[in-house]
Formats: sequence, C-alpha cells, structure tokens
Amino acid sequence: MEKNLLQVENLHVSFNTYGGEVKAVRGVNFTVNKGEAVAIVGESGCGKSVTAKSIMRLLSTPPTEYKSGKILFHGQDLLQVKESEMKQIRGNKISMIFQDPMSSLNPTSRIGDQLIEGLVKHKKLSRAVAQQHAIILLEKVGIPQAKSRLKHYPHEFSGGMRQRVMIAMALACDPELIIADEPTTALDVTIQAQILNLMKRLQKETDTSIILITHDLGVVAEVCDKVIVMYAGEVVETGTVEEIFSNPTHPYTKGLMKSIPRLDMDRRERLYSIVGSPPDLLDPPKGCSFFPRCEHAMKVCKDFHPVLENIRGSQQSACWLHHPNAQAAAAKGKEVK
Amino acid sequence: MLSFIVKRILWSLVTIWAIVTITFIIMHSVPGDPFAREGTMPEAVYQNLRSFYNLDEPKIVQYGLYLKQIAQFDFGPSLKSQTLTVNDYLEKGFPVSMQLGLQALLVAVVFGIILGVIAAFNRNKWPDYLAMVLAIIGISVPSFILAYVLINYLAVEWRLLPVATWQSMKHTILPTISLAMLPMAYIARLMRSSMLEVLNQDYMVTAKSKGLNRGFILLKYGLRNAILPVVTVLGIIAANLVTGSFIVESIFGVPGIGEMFVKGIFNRDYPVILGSTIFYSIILIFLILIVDIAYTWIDPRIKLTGESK
Amino acid sequence: MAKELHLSEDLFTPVTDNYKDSEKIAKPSVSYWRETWRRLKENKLAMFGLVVIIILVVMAIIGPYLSGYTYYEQDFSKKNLRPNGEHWFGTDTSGRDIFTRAWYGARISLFIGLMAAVIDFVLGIIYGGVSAIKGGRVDNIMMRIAEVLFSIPYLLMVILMMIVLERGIWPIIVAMTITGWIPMARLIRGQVLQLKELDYVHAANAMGAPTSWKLRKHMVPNTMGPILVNLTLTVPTAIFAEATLSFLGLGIPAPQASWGTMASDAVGSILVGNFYQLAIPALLISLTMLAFNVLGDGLRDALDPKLRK
Repeated sequence: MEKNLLQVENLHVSFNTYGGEVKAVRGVNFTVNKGEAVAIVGESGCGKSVTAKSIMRLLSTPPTEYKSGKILFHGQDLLQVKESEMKQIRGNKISMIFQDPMSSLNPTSRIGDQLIEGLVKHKKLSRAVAQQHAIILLEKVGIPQAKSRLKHYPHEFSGGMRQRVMIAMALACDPELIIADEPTTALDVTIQAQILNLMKRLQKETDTSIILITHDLGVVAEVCDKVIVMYAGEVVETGTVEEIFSNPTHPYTKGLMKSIPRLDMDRRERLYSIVGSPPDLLDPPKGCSFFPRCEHAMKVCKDFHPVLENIRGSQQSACWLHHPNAQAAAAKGKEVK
Repeated sequence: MLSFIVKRILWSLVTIWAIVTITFIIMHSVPGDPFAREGTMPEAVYQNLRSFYNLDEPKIVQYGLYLKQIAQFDFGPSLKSQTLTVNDYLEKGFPVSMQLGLQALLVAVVFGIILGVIAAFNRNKWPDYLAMVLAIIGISVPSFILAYVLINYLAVEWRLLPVATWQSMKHTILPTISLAMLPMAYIARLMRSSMLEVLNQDYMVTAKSKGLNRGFILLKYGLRNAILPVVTVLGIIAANLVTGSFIVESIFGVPGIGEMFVKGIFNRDYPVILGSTIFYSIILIFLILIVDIAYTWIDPRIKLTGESK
Repeated sequence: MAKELHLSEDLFTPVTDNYKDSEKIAKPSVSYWRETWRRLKENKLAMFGLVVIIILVVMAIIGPYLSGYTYYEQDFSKKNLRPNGEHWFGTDTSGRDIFTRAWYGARISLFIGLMAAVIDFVLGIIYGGVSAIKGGRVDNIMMRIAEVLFSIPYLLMVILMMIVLERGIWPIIVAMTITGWIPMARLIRGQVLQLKELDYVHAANAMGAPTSWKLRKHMVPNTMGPILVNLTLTVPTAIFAEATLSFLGLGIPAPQASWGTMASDAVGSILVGNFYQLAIPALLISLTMLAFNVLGDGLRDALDPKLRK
C-alpha cells in the first residue's frame, strides 16, 4: 500500500479583491502519511486555513483562485478533478471539523438529520439504518442519551457538545483524512482538553490521518506527530514534534515557542510576544517575509528569499541563519567584540 | 409556550379596546354633530341611530354600551342605507376582500422569494440588478398609480384585461398585481439580504464539506434559514395588504370592505367608517398574532426564549 | 537551490533597523462623517437619489415662476392641451398649466414630507429619550402605550384623523405625526439604552471623559446613523400617505395642489386618453419616493461601520 495519503506540491492560492491579488498561500509543500497526525501552525492570516480548505476545494471561486501546484490524494490531483467527483470525496474520503461549533451547524435542522445526511448520500444507507449508525457515532464521541439527542436542535447543545457532534459528523463515513481547522479555539480551556483527548483517542482507534490547524503549539504537542509552521503563506519550518519542540531553528518558530505560557515561569516575567504583525500579502516582501519582525535579521534577509533547507533528521527550515556564511559572519562578529 | 400565547392574546384585546375607544372619541369629536338629523335622512334611519348610539344617555354610559355592542360584533346601522346595517356590508364584502388579499399575499410571497433568491445567487450580476430595479420600483410607485398605469395600458390601450368589477378570475388579475407589488418588492429585498447573509454563514461551508449536492444545500441550509426574517415581517406585509386594499378595491370596483370604506369616507357615513376601521384592526391584530405564534413554531431557537420573555 | 547563488559574506551582517516598518499603521484614521460621506459617494444609486432630491427641491423653489402661469389661473379655452412649447407639461381639465402646478405641488408634497419627518424626529427624541433615561416602570408603561398605538394601522389612523380635522396642509401633517413618531421613539429609546450599556461608553466614563466629549465622540455618531436613515425613509412614507389622502378626497383643498391631488384629479382623464395628466404627478411622486428610498438605503450601508474596510 502507498504510504503517502496526501501530498501538497508547490500550492499557490490567491484571492482577487478590489485592492488586488492577495497571495494567501505561496508555494506550500507537505505530505501526510496514512495514520499520521500533522499540525499546521501559525498566526491568523498565515494561510493555514486557506491551505486546509483548498484541500477540499471549499473556497468559492471567484474570488479565490488556485494559481498553481498540486494536491495529490492517493495520487489523484484534487485541483483537477471534476466538481461531481469532488462531492464524492468531500465528507466521504476527506472530512472537516470547523473552528466555531456555534455557527457551523445548521440552526434550523435537527442534529440527527445533519448527522445522517452524509451517510445517506455517500453510503447509500436508508434513513432508518443511518439513524442507528448516528446513535453509535454520538456514543462514540461521548454524547449521553444519544438516541433522544438526535431529535434536538444545535442550540440545545453546549459548545463542547456541539463540537463533539461536529466530530461525529466528520467521522460518519469513516474518512481517510480529517482536517480539523482550529477545533478547540472557540471552546473553554477545560473543554479544549476533553475535545483534544477525544480526537487523539479516535485517531488511534480508527487509524485516520489528521491535519490539525492551530495557532496553539500546546495543542500540537498533545496530538500530533509532525509539525508544519507557516508564516505569510509559506512553510518556514517543518519536522517531527520532537524535533521542533526540542530544537526550533527558525526565529518565528522560536518566537511561537517562547509565547506559550509555562507553569514554571516567573510570575513577574512578561509573556513573550513577537513584535509587529504579518506582512500585507497584497504585496509580499521580496526577501524573507519575517524580516521586519525578526530578532536575528541580516542584510541578506531583506532582498533574498530563503528556501527550506534540511537541518537534521526530517527537520527543514527556511532561514538564512543556516547558511554557512551566516555562521562565519556570526563568528567574525564575536571576534570583533 | 401556552403562557406566551395567552399573554399575546390578552395584549391583542387591549389593543383592540384602545382602537375602539379612539374611534368612539373620534366619532364624538367630528365637527358638527354626525348624528344631527340632516334634511335627507329618513326618519327610520335617524331613530335607528339614536337607539344604537344611546344618544339620550350620558357620554360615559354611551361609551359603555358602545363597547358592549362592539364586543358582540354589532357595528350598528349605516347612515345612508335604510335597510342595510354595517354588519351586512361587512358580511358581503369580507369574502371578496379576503380572496383579493390572499391572492395578493400569495403572489407577493412566492414572487418576492423567487426574485430575492435569484438576486442573491447572482449577486452583482444582471439578474440581481434587474430584480432589485423591479423591487425599488415596487416600493416607489404607490399602488393607486400602479393601478392606473395598468388600467391605462393593459385594459384601455391594449384591451388585454377587463378594467373593473369582480366577475371572473380574469377580473382579479389587475387588482391582485396592484396590491401585491409593494409587499412583493419588500419581500424580494429582504429575501436577498437575508439569503446573502445565510450564504456567508459557516454552516454553509460545513454543508459543502459534507459533499452534499448544491441544490440540497441551498434548499435545506439556505432557504430554510433565509426565509425566517420574511416570516417575521409577514405581519407588516398583511398590514400593507389591508390598508392597500381599500384603494385598490375602490379603483377596480371590487365589492369588498375596502370599497365600502372609501364610499363611507366620501359619504361621511360614520358608522361605516368606524365599523370597517375596527374590523380592519381586528383582522390585522389577529394576523400579526398568528404570525408571531407561527414564528415560534418555525424557528426552533425561539421556543426557549419565547417562554421566558 | 539558493546555495548556488553567490551571496557575499557581507550580506550576512546583522541589521537592527528592520523593525521600523513593522508597526506601520495601514490606514490613516478618517473621521466618522467623512468616511461615511466617502462611502456614500461610491454608491452611484444613492448619489443619483441625492441629485434627484436636490433638483426637486430647487425646482420646487423656482419652478412655479418659470412658465409665467399661476397654479390657480384657469383658461377654459386651453384645457386638456398636450405638452407643447407654451405649456411644457400641458394643461389640465380646467386649463391650468400643469408645469406650474407640478412644481407648486412639489412645494406642498415635499413640505409635508419634510415637516412630518422633523416632527416625528422631535417627538421621537422626547418620548424615546425620556423613556430610556427614566427606565424601569416609566419606561415599561411608556413603551406599552406606544406599542398599543403602533398596532393601529398607520393609514387608517391618518384617515380617521382627517375625518375629524379640517382639510389643509397642517391638519395633514398633524394627522400623519399623531402616531408617526412611534417608530422613531422606539428607535431612539433602543439606541440610548444600547449606548448606556456599551463598553466604550463605560470606558469613557471610567476615564472621566467630559459629558460633551462623550456626546460628540460616541453618542452622536452612533445614534445619528440609524436615525438619519429612518428620517430619510419617513419622507417618502409621508408623501405616499398624502397622495393616498388626496385620492380619498381628504387631501389639500382646491385650488391648491399637491402631487396627490393632481393625480387624483387626473384619474378621469385616462379614460378619455389624456394619460399625461396623471403621468406627470405620478412620475414625480414615484421619482421622489425612489430618490428618498435609494438615498436611505445608501445611507444605511454607508453608516454601517462593520462594513468599513
């Protein structure tokens, strides 16, 4: 069996707005293996959500334009398949969990109906059979009294419960890949942990691949195997969770790591934050996108664009600091002092 | 839920009482005595009036008795007719007015929703502009002007449809269009903005991510949610239809309550004016009540809050 | 690979001035009203409405003097003339110059519309403001009264009032405003209540901002928006109601003219083929309603800061 489930190659996605072309995703590469949990991390607006939605082709065109690149799912380029084939993949082979469970469920439709829609469509089940299946799904995600809950409307559920329903919906057709777009951001902290544990458990049980999109590195450590750090529409660093957490090499990744609050922190110590805000993607910088906010910026960063370089193991990083000349310059700098 | 309905019904009764009281005050403050015997008024009519309005009693007693009569749905005699009472007029006119009103409501709702949906799906393209131009015209052209324009072209110049009276289905076309145009335009605009808002909702993306068919999504996720605001304004739409109907009825000679009301105004037939005003108000308040109750039934989210409110 | 690119060692010296661009504020802050005006200007339809309104107002002022005829002068030798070089809009059934009458009518129709809006605004501010500021039971009772009055259909109330009152401009304005102020009062009450609770007003209080500053910076810009929109939409409602009253014979008495009376006087003319006599006032009424409606819509869109980009 093939190992690569999903392979994103040099993906470019833009939005055409009144102000011009916003280049939201600029040459993203990554792979997701079978049974693997991959995290895409970055600030809001860094293109992680766009990347995820592009995989399912959920963005409406126009204003979105898939400029170039490939999204290979079982070797088939999803950007090329017909819309009718795409419908067979959505919710069936690949499903998605969204950020805000409050607004992601249809308020005027019963939970049961929303759960079985996919089953009836993709698995050709009768409503009665699908209903039985829906009860099992709700039990699986830890919703008590599943049978009577089917008749309830979304507003009768709490936020955490709704997210469980969303997860049940995503699991309904036994997909091979689940994309979770900030699934815990809108929830209370205690509920976040429950939902993460649930996702972790279900992933182990079903051997489904997961793409977890988040801005919270703490979440990543809990659930994922591999990390992709995105900044301004590009991948700036990637590696296994161990590699990234033990040895972050890109200044942006380091910044993100430093901004996680820790229990052993001195109370008077201010929580680290990266100064400034991401660049305007209407007119992305020529050099390194992180240059204006970087602590270690060098002349080269302003005009030359860094590319991903192998660091060690599977870890890759796009930063001029890894260039041999940078080390030499740093050594020289020390000598001068 | 039940307490909510009971409360609403009680409030409706208070409102109707207020309207009846206002009509009583107006009746008794008309310049000159509306009950003064004019030269043309036959003796029998005059005596009927005196006894119905209890003119020999003190004002406060008159008011009490008037309330009692209205409560029994007795609107008294007409000033101009010796034989017919206001109740007779209402009974005769009501079925006609109701048919016209329902036809117009149906046209307004169906076409309004269709236009609004088409406009929303083709946002900023020509079908959107066309629908919205039509809607803005519907809102800007008063019904009586529209009625005469329709008469001038469709009936007088091109002779496609009969001008007046109420004999066959064909006769109802022009009055129905004239009456339906404004609420249709209103619904179309509301439906468009509501649909655009719904199309932007997260749950539409969820639906797409489930691989559902576009038609199914638009119907069950889109229309179902977008139509809710339209239901809330049905009360206002009904008010528009009722108050619009008397102009349209009298232009087209439709023998409904509206025509009777307008004739009453021209003839200064006060019992007819007041009777139909009260009747109109009751109908309206009843319609709004039904819409409110229906809404709690249609939108599942209201059920919980409706009770606590 | 980039490594093949020749990069001199010099390029790898650290820089520290890289932060200077990162805190740049993307867009200079523009004052609320200027921003609103900018967005309104971009809305072609709303600007069309504004231009039409300005032209109508200018013509209402100078129009009656342009043709050399008066609005009341009758010349039976020249009746029912079609629009021509001498009488630009033709003459009516009494041989009066329609051009002069149309612009004289514009004065009356626009005056009624504007006065109704102004009076609604003043009454609404007083009633709604008092209700919101007093709060509690006073607020509750005042709003219940308003609710009951508001359930009476607007047009019916206006008609009933006109039956009691004399005919003339001011009675019409009184009849229109007697319940017309209620939506405005409700709107203002809602706005004031909302403002009392808003975080930024609390914040301004906490920082000890002076009352005048709070009013100027927070209250006025945030309440004026919806009120202005409502005012803009009151004008066409009033003009429409006036036209309907005229149609029912309750409008401005002759020889004065409003667009409504001109239209209803011309009703008979369509059957004898003089449609232009109706078309001119009908067109003016519709154009005015259209202009105010699109301007109101445009204002609403322009004032919504959520759409600010």
